[in-house]
Amino acid sequence: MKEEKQVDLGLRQFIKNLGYIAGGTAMLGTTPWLQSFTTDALKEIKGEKARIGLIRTGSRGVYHIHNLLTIPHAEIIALCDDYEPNLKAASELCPNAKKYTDYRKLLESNEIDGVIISTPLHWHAPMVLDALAAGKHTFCEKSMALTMQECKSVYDTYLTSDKVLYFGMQRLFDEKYIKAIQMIHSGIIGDIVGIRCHWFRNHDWRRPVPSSELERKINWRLYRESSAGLTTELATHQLEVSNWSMKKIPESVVGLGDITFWKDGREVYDSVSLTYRYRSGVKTTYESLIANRFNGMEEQILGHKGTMELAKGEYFFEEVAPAPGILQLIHDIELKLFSAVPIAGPSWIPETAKRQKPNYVMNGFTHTTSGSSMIGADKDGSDHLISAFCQAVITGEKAKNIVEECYASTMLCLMGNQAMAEQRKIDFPQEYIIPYLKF
Amino acid sequence: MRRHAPFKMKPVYSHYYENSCLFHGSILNIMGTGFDIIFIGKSKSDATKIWDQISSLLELLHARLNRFDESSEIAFVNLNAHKQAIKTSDYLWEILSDNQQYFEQTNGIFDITLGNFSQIELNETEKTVFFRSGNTKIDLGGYAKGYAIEKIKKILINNNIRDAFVDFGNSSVLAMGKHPHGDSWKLIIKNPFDQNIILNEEELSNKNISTSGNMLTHTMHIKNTRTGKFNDERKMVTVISDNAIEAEVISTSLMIAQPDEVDSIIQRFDIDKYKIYYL
Repeated sequence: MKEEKQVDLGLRQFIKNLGYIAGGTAMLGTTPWLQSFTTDALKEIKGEKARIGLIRTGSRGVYHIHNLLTIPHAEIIALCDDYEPNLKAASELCPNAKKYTDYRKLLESNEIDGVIISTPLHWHAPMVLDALAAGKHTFCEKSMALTMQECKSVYDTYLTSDKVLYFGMQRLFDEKYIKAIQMIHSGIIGDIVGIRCHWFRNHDWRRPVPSSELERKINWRLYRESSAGLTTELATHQLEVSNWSMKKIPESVVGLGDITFWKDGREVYDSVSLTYRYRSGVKTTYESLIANRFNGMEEQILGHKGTMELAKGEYFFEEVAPAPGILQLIHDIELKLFSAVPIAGPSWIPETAKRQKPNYVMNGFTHTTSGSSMIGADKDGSDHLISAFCQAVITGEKAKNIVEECYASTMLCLMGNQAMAEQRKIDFPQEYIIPYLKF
Repeated sequence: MRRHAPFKMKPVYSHYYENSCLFHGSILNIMGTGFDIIFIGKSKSDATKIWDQISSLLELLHARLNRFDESSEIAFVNLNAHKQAIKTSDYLWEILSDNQQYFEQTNGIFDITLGNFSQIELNETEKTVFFRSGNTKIDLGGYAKGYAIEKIKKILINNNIRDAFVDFGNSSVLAMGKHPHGDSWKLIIKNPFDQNIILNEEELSNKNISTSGNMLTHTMHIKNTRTGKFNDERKMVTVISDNAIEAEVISTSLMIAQPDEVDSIIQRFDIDKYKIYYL
């Protein structure tokens, strides 16, 4: 029992479930950022702890605290918030952590190895730059920054820094997404011909405000000085999986954005429709409304042979559903695995119903979410992401592609906002193209 | 003159996996079940040509061996052979004479007329078939998949394919060569009444495995040709053999055979291994 407690069983099991084997190359093509987290690598950090400071302890910060408390290789050393009620609540969860109200003071502490930044968007870039300059390994919530200029400056600084930098792109650590994307890359749904992403809620996106001077501080999501709205808060995740599926970045975007229902003084759109265009002509549509939740949240990858619904972890064939055992066999061969497949049995009668039953990405129970929470869903990869970050804090090993993926999807969000504001097509700006991006 | 049935497009799916040089072809509904094949080591264009041969062959056999297809020779024989001896084509002659042998070798259990094989008269010199009784009907349902697999095996060998896996509705499987990352093909056999229970695991190379049995959703589809009653036992039989047809014949027969006649039946066939599961 004691030995087991010293490594993170959650992360270890997650990597195992993905079929990673020691020294194996399986899955690295789809998820290069996971190559540092093999079970062997986890054993190497046994007994060591990442000393973590949290910058801002609002709802998302507290969500991370709950995950950190279950991670054996993490220790919460410090908490920082300039809003007393939030600092107090967090401190009750980790009473031994030192309390700060100014994050610069926290960064001066030599006892802290890494920081987790969960602040409004406009603080991301300044705090990440300060944290890296202070020699701290850094985790920051998505999106990368409020402006394109800031994104570039974070990216350039990261390139010259020897510190680890992570962003809260949890789908990269969500087993359901990883398996589905591997299946897409293996060709199961054929060539991708289109992508539809949507995120619908029926909620004003507000938090209660104890007194009116706190409105812009607490409801920062609603104001342009601190937020880029639905794109950077929600679309960023979906544009990231769109690019992950395509292995490409869109060249341009058109779109319309309006405040149609929640006319309460907010400055960001409550209705967003964007169309991103890849060079091949494949388009990703993104729709978000926050006054109707009927459609929930989904990313549909449309192939000429089938459709993958990533959030539900289900897929459908256009015409034919091959035997499940055969699909497993093909999947194994693609991953260079040799295992037994459940094929032999009494003959089955093919399904002829017009509406196919879904095929499932994961065997057994699949955790899905409606996308309605403003804080974050359980088991959506955030726990593994934070655990991986803490491991990287110990080893100092940078993760492949995470910063680049966040850069790309944030840039696309900001391009979308520009397209909606100026009502014209926006091309990916030349001056912001980084070598990682493939169009 | 017999008219041709209109060509009906069946849902066909195929995909070439470049990284593994793996071709996957699938037909949703053929001979009453689904068909899947994967084979390895061919270029995309060669693989596509081979798949064209295989899928056309299956379409052809589906029509030829289907007694419900009015244009099939089988339907014609079923309709007319009790009136006069019917001259058969070469392939139907081969099927009928083989089945006469299987009928005898299985003590009359494997019977493509489901109980009336003794009413069939085959004239070897004329290659004709005559039914002594009017209610005799040939149904190749329990034979066709094994027959098709043997034909497909020939196509694969002629195209120098060594490693391939053919799954005909799970019940008839050909495992040729080996898995690209193993030295055989490994199969799990599950309890059809409870998919959580694994009954056995088999490693196959250049072998066929045939499975007969009842399922929760699909019982009473195997007729006891001696009693005329459908089998409703919670029982399943798997048979491994070099020959797909013999595997089919034995797996079906052992669902019906009395325990004391199993050994004598088996000895008349080229069978590697069989297993009877009482579930």
